[in-house]
Amino acid sequence: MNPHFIFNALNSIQEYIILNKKNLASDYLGKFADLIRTYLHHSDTGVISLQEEIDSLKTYLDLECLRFEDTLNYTFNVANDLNSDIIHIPTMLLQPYIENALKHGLLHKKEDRKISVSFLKGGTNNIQCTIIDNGVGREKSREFQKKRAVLHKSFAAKATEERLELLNFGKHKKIGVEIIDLYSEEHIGNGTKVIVSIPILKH
Amino acid sequence: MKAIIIDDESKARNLLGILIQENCPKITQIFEAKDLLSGVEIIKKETPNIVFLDIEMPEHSGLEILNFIEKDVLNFEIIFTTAYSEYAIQAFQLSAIDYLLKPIRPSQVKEAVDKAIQLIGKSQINSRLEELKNSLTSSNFNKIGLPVSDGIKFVCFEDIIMMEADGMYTKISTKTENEILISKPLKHFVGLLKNIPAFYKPHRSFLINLKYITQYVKSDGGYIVMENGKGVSISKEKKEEFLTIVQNIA
Repeated sequence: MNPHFIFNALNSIQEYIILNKKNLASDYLGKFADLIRTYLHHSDTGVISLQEEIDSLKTYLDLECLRFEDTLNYTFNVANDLNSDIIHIPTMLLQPYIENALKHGLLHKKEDRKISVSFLKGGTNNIQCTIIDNGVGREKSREFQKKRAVLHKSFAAKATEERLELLNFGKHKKIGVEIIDLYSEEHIGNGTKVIVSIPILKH
Repeated sequence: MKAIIIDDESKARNLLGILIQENCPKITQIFEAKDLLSGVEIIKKETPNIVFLDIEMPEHSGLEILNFIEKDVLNFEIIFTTAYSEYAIQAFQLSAIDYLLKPIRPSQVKEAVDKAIQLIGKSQINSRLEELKNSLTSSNFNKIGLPVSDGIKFVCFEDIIMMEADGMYTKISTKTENEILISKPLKHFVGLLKNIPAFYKPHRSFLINLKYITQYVKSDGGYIVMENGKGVSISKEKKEEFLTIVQNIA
């Protein structure tokens, strides 16, 4: 999780406090606490049910919506033949990809930001998670990034890569990640699709 | 006095606007913009005295402001607002540019605005932004911005001979200037320069540049003489460490 997110979320909650919107402030403070609690718990367990992962991703996105307001909408889809309470996956695996979609693709889009997350069965003992955003695409995002004065330290990308290596080390069935750039008919970047295929750990 | 808040998040603009209204009576008019380019338009038209500038925004980051404003129009003070990492904060401190960390504390808004009002017109914001950009883009910071009574003085690390604590102040000797008194505690500089190997703290009241040592005197419990002729004490527990370092450079 990017430290930026934490402080921006707290800053948004501060607005509710200053405006004396007590219930909203408390609700979001609660959500924020939930998310931190969940992540602390997850970093301890290593493995969670698919449903737990979906719930924490939703809490995370709810807090991001606080910042992007009504310009961000998200959807989750789980295929009927997946039992999300029984299927278990490694913790903290998907959040970085969703955060990347927001940070690099959707941030620069300014309005009508969409992110969809879907889970499908990908063969025996494998599930496929597809994350699609309708942001500006990786190429455009890199252009913006280059112009920025700050050397971008791609913290999340590196951490994710190392984590994948660690999770896959010595395993016969490996977690695979595929990133596909999406283009409009006029060949203008209009989003990014990330497919993470995850061997099911428990059945 | 006029101010503008440039931030892509409406909640953040709203919040800061209220904090300014409630804590800074000298600011009578507040403009808002949701990205850098529309902010620059308003700056040119309304000529605000203080610009509150978010860093992480769509398309253009707040740090790019120099690319869009002609140098002769730069007659305002900038206060960055950010949720940024330690790394950037060090760059802010080195270039003596003020910043507010999110979530924002009312007392810090007040303090930053008071400081900005004092600096308006004599602050070389232009060169400070250049320094900021340099320190953010290269991993070798080589200058430090020192707040002095009539603005900010930039000094190369390698020109600093020594720093001496003086209560909440620090006396800084450089190659070109005998002694500058800065209203920051020595602790502040020790933190800023901790990654620069040339600087060493032989005593709680001194930070020295090893480059400018001329003599180590054994008598009186041992002390160092610097190139500017000043003596520097060594604390008991640092003596052994210091002698090892000296032997290594010799």
